[in-house]
Amino acid sequence: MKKLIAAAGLMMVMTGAFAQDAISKFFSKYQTDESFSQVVVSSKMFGLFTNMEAETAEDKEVLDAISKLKGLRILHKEDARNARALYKEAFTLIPVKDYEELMSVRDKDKDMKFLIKESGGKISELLMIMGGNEQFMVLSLFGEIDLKQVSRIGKKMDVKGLEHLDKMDKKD
Amino acid sequence: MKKITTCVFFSLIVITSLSAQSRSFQAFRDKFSGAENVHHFSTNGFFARAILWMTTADEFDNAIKSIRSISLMTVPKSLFREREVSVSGFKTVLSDDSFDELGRVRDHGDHVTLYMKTTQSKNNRYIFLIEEPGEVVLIEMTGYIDPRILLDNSSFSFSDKQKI
Repeated sequence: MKKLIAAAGLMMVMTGAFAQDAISKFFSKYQTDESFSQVVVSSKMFGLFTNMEAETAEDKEVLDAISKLKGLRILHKEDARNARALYKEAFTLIPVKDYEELMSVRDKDKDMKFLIKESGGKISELLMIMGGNEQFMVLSLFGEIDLKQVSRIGKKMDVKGLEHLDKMDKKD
Repeated sequence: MKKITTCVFFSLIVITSLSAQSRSFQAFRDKFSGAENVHHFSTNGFFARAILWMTTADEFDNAIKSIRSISLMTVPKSLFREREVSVSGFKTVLSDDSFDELGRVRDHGDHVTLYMKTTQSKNNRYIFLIEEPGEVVLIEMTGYIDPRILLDNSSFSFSDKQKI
């Protein structure tokens, strides 16, 4: 019985670890493909923002929000003729049912979907999937996420796409 | 007398620069130093800041004020094969030397990984490990870099100009 409980516990830990960021499958599939750009930012980097001094109250809010993040992963392909196919593939590889759709954006040359994972009333992951005529991108931001600050964080880090969340904030 | 003074002065610069290097950087230097097409440069204090000031954009001015030393080494990739060592092996050395990975970027065949080791307050060590198709560049800085600069302006910036 003890072994069974230990095995179940191990399974839960492993499931948690793998579910930490949904683009792991994409990373493992395309990690050797040099046509993809990858960015990984660790929790150590975000942790540097803990208790940092800020000049304005607004900056302080952003810094606090950054310090609560645990990681960022981006997979991006430019000049991709198969960008639309990759976009579709993303929805088959990523366990979309584990997420809630936050927003979708469609314009003439690209589609974007924002998905969130919520647990205990807190957002633990934000996923952005973008597929255009020539560009494909998957972004996973995880940790304790303050949606109101995400577009500002995006501006700070110059991550394209996250500014769309600002529109959602204004609608509210 | 002038010669002696000059020798002592430059010896001091070399000695203080070497002592400013981490165990990881020293291991890297010892492995490849003296080989053909290996370039090594090391300086500290005012010289380090002057070099960074000349080679970086204006927005880095504030960030480099607290840099105390800088060491740089370039090694052809062929030498790694020749010496039967690997970049991933060196990453293990960094990990054993208490360096934490802050982030990494892969873009157009270049792999950049940024490490940091916190020693004392605002006297950190930063290592940039840059793998290019033909060579490996290792840069170590000591001092303090504002994390906002690391996140805003480094390779971890994702604008269209930087292709991500």
